[in-house]
Amino acid sequence: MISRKVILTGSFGVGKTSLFTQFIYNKFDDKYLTTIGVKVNKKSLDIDGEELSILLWDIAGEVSQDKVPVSYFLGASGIIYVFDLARPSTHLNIIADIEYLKKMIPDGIIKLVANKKDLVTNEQIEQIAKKINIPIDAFTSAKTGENVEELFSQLGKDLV
Amino acid sequence: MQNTSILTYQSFTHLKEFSVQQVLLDKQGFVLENDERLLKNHLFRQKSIPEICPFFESIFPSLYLLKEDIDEVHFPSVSLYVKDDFQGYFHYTFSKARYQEHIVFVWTILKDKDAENRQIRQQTENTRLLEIEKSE
Repeated sequence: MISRKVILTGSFGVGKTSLFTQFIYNKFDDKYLTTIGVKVNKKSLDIDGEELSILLWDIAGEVSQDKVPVSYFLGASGIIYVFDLARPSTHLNIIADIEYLKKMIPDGIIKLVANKKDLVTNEQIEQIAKKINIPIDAFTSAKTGENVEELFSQLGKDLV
Repeated sequence: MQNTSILTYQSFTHLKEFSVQQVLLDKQGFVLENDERLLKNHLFRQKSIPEICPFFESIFPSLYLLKEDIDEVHFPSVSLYVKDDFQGYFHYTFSKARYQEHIVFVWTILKDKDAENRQIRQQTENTRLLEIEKSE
């Protein structure tokens, strides 16, 4: 079995822990609880007949990624950078943050994920995508579970 | 791999009170020596630590890359859940050393006693900022 370390990162309140909980436990809790430090869990995926263990790190949200302890990136193969479709303030640093994350894992996979799809309309999503002007890999709702499994499945394929 | 000498995130000196423990691991991640102040040996009799904890599974391969007796890597505020016995937040530091001619890893654990207070403060601050954003 192959194992890969993946980090969920982004600003606070964008739904990283909800994505973590939805992916690992298939659950959602509406209550916002700030994450501090890091917690890690894993889930196995079948990727075209091969078993892949995703070791998922849910880390404390930071408005700027250079505030994240550098050691957290050690040995990471993938990063999921999450922003909140319904909160414009979380769209502001995306390009700078992604550039920084590329330096942290030069050979790794970085996925840009727009979360809280359930809170916006398709028209709003189109406007946001145009404004951000950088390819968005997935539009998810940790609340409904929409596209969450697909996100990790696609990431898994990219990692094996 | 990044130079782990730059990975130390914060010093322990800011902590007002803490509990500390050192554990010596072999290169497979089995416990060689442990003073049991925080982490009890019975948790790890059958399996290596990387087999039990996803956190260790994800960092263990990187520990081999540390320079012996030089590098150390520090992970602040890790929440590690091990069979109900090891709840809460801990700061971990790892280094590689030689012990009786074998490569070993020194795992230093400090209980992060301020974690709950920090979480409450951060929760209050984040909730305040979210409310401001909503009202704008």
